[in-house]
Amino acid sequence: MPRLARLLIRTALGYLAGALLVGIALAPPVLGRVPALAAVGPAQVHLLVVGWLTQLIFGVAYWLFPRHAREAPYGNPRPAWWGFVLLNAGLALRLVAEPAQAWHPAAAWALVAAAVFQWLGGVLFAAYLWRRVKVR
Amino acid sequence: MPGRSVWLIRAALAHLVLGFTVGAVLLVHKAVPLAAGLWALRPLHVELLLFGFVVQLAFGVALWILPRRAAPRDEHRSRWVAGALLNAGVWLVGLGGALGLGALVLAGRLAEAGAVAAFAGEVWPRVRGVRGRHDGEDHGRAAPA
Repeated sequence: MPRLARLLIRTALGYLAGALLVGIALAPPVLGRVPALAAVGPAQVHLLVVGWLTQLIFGVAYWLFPRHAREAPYGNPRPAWWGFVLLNAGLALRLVAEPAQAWHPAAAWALVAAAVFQWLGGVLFAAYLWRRVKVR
Repeated sequence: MPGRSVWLIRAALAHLVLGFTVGAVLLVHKAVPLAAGLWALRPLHVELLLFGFVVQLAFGVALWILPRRAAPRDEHRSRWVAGALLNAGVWLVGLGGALGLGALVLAGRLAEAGAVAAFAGEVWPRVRGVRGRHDGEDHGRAAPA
């Protein structure tokens, strides 16, 4: 299994664990004591569907999809690496910026950056995988 | 990888990009309000990613990777029904939700259900063990090309 696939799958597992921990914090008995935690709710859903599910799909697809060519099985992996970095930077930034927006209006710009990073990450990874999807 | 899988997986990737685009616009809107009523796009965002990307990718990969019957790959036109219904359903539900048109959402859900029925009917006979082997003994077999 190539290094990027291992990184993606392990990071996905980390997000799954993180999302479950955030889920515990969002459970009514905890949330009742710290109502401010409710601001993390939307980010928790994205930890699951982007951090876990989408990233797991990316990792397995990077490993399993038809090889690019015999001499370069994964083709030019640079867009995939950048996709991995940007997707995770955006997701982590969102996790912090979304609740922080309630206290610091300046955090709104961090949320904009999180949106741009995640979008770029998704587009770069999709563009990379597009070339690995082919008839044989 | 059969041609149908290529189409389904590439359509899934296109839906991923569209879904991420709508999601990015909504997240920016949360930080810096852009236009009134933009939140109406949320059902489209969810539909593009859950059915347009995840379910469609699963269809494409399953058709590629599940054991094939003895007959050669069947690319008959009727076999494209599942993909066509799924894509129609995604857009009907997504746009119906965004525009507040319940009839479109209903039509879209029916199309999605039809897609799943067509897909399940096709892959059901392909989900089987290898004769003479117990379940789990064929792990590690290479993915079909």
